[in-house]
Amino acid sequence: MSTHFTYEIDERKLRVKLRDIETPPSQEAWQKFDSYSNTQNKHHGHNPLKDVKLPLNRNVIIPAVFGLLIIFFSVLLFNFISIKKPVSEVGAASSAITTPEIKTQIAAPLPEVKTPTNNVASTATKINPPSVISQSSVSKTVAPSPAPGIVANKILPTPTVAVLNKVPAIALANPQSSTAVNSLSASAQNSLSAEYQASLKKKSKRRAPEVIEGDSANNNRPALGGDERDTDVRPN
Amino acid sequence: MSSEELLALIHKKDANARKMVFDSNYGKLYGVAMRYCKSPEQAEEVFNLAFNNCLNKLVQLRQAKSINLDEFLEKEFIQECVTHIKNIRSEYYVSSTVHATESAPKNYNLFENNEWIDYNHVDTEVLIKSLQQLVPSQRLVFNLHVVDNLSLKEAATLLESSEETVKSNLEKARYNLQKNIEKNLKSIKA
Repeated sequence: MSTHFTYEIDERKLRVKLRDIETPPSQEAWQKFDSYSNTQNKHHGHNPLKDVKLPLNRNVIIPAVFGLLIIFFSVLLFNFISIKKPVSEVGAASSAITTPEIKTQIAAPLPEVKTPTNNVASTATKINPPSVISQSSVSKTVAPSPAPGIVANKILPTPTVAVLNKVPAIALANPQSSTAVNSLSASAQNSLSAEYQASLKKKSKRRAPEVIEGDSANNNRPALGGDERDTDVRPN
Repeated sequence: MSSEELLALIHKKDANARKMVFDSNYGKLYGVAMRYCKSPEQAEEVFNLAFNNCLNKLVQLRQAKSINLDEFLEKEFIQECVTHIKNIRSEYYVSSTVHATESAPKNYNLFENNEWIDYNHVDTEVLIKSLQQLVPSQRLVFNLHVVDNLSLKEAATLLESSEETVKSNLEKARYNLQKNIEKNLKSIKA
């Protein structure tokens, strides 16, 4: 726009003039309008859903989309991360507390059995390497002799029994006060003793033939002659 | 027939009542359409559409008895005109851009513009033609604010644009209207 422009139109007069414009109605105009309105009404008809206007604009859609995205990601993360405590440990602990196995505590042999065998084993290793299984035979054979190892072998189980007798006595006297630790330790002892026995059996099974096989192997091993030995210095 | 009886008949979709409303409002509303549109053809099309929509609204209106029919029709008709013209995107946006970038032809004849023009006594046809030559955005703003006496804020709301844009378009419309009147008067004399 030019800076030298001067607006010379009187807007009041212009307004009056423009508002006073009128076109006389004509039959032709009415017919055109009537045909137009008929076609429009036939096309559209009265659709009840047309009256329902949802104010869906970007101010509604964008927050909704972002909200859905946030919900989607939170659900996605929730599937990966579980806030709850693992049920298995809690269940195991509760079962251990509720069912203290008193009888098994009394009858369970302790892994203290190992200690007496050391003396015997020290004596018996020369004859038979397995200590536990051969214990009875060794004890039978060595029983008459007043060796300290045998005495220990006979005496040592008794304190273990005494110790075991004390534990259930406490537990029986006040079973409700017995804690989970006691029950767990008892069960652990049981399991340990069972494992220990199993391991001893395995060892005895392994060692027994080893001794025999070892002797036979030593006997059957072909001796190398002096000529066969490599006395010469090996070449690089 | 009173306006209430007429409205009751329109509610019943009576054809005679519609014709009566058409006859009584055609002249004025067609003039409005002529001001808002770029040509008589477009004015006719817009009139049919806008007037049909106005009558449909009148039928759906629940408290139709308490309204002034002429005022209601004029207001609704202007709104329909603005909506229709604004929705012709190819004209409303593209032509504005073209006119804005168009450079005015340079005139070196210093005595050509010395002729005095009385803008207040311009023929109505020239005035309408000059108004129709404006780009749609400027034409709508000028009609709404100057002729139909709407405030700039109301016009901005109706046109879905900012008040600054409306002001700018109004200034451009004033300048271009005067130039158009000048040009059209010269072409008539020539």
